[in-house]
Amino acid sequence: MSMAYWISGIVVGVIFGLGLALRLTAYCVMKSNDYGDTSGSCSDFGEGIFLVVEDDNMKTREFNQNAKEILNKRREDLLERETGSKTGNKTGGATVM
Amino acid sequence: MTKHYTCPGCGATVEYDPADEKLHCPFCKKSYSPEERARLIGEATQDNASTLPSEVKDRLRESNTIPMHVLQCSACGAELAMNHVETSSFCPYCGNATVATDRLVDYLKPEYIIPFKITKEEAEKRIRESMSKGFFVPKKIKNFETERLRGIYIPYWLVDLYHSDEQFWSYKPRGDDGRRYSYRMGDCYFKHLTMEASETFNDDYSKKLEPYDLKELKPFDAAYLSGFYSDRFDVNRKRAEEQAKERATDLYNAEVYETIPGKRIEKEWENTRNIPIRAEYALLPVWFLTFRYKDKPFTTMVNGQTGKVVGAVPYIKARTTALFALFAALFIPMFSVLFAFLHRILVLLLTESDDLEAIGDGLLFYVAFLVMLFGWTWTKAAKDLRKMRESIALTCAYSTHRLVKERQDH
Repeated sequence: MSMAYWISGIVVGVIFGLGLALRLTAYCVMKSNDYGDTSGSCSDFGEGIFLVVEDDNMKTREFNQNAKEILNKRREDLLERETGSKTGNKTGGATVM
Repeated sequence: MTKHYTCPGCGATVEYDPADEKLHCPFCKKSYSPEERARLIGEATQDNASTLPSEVKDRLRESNTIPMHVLQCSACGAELAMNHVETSSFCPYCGNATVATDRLVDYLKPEYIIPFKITKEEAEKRIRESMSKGFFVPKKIKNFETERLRGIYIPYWLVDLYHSDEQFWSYKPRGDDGRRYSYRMGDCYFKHLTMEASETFNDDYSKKLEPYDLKELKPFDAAYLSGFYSDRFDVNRKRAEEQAKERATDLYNAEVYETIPGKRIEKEWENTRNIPIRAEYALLPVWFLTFRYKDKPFTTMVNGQTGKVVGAVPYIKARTTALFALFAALFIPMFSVLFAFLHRILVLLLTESDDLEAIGDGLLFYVAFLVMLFGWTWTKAAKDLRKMRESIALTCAYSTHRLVKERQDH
């Protein structure tokens, strides 16, 4: 094999090897010296997220009007369950952004 | 006005013990649950705060400044100084656990409390255990000398909030050049979103104590404060609600992001709606342990309910360099040989082709692959190192150390 292959191989190997070595070292140090580096997620504060629509692979942005109606109905039900009001205003603390 | 929670049997000051969740008398050795003690002594467990008119409560909730107080110990009459947010402490002369009941009455009584479940000894044991396992933790830190270990009830706003979002995300599908869109519409009802309500305590550090098991919230009873330090809120409800809106949006987006396929994901458009429903004031338990390393103060924490240890400590530089050298010595020759052979195969494949355009495309693809590979290793390594430095900076922040230090010893 000619020298050129070796030189190019070593250049790429050194850059990638050093990067990978640094990454693994940083991971090991974090595991050893950083405790409890997590915080709460959506599911820790209630029932978690609920997605009415999950459309992928769209070439253009297309809104889904039916989903808006479903979401509005869901919001009214949720707020009625939690506050006794469909807008959440009965408690006096709610503000709509 | 200060108050000592006295023993119904002998009148001595009782202190709350997380081990059996009871108030213990150090003299007659009797123990009582807070409700039992209140019943035996003929004392109401609820104080005047709950009877304050709602407009006064609201005004007090918005109030953001309270002067420093000098109070009188109800046990020995000595003067007891408390900073502007402390609601329970210890008398510097007689050492009795003291609760500043007038502050609880005047400045809105907490609605809920999670009593300490982890004892002082267990908190220290957990911190020592975590550190002793660390291969890169210096020996002096493993055998640290505790400067202070304090159980403090930290004020929180528990915010109920409805969040809904309609979003377009763009991404690059795998094995495809163009960009595609994802459409997401959904909502989340956040129940008791914990928003820490102390100016002194760093929010990024306090978030790491989560999650608390909020099913164990109890109606507030000042007897739980006896034997611990506690602070009142100095972040008002309105500000907590504003912060909760931002936090809810971040938490929601983080979960939705995980559902988007492909790579190079970007949020293109969104229509967010946040409706805060209510914010309730609660006290949650935290153990703070301070020690010194190379003259710098370090404050590690333990969630007083779940026992989760939080903190980061400096690493042994020699060991870290040695491990890095070991990995580098292993990976560099391995990947150098691998890439040399890969380059040879690539050149053979490309020279066999007469199509110059295909050769150009092949080379471009290979360069893009290398850039991606280098980016994956170096950027992730830099991100991890920055995160580690930030965690250490939080652990040795002077503000957290002051929060623990500037209290009456007992």
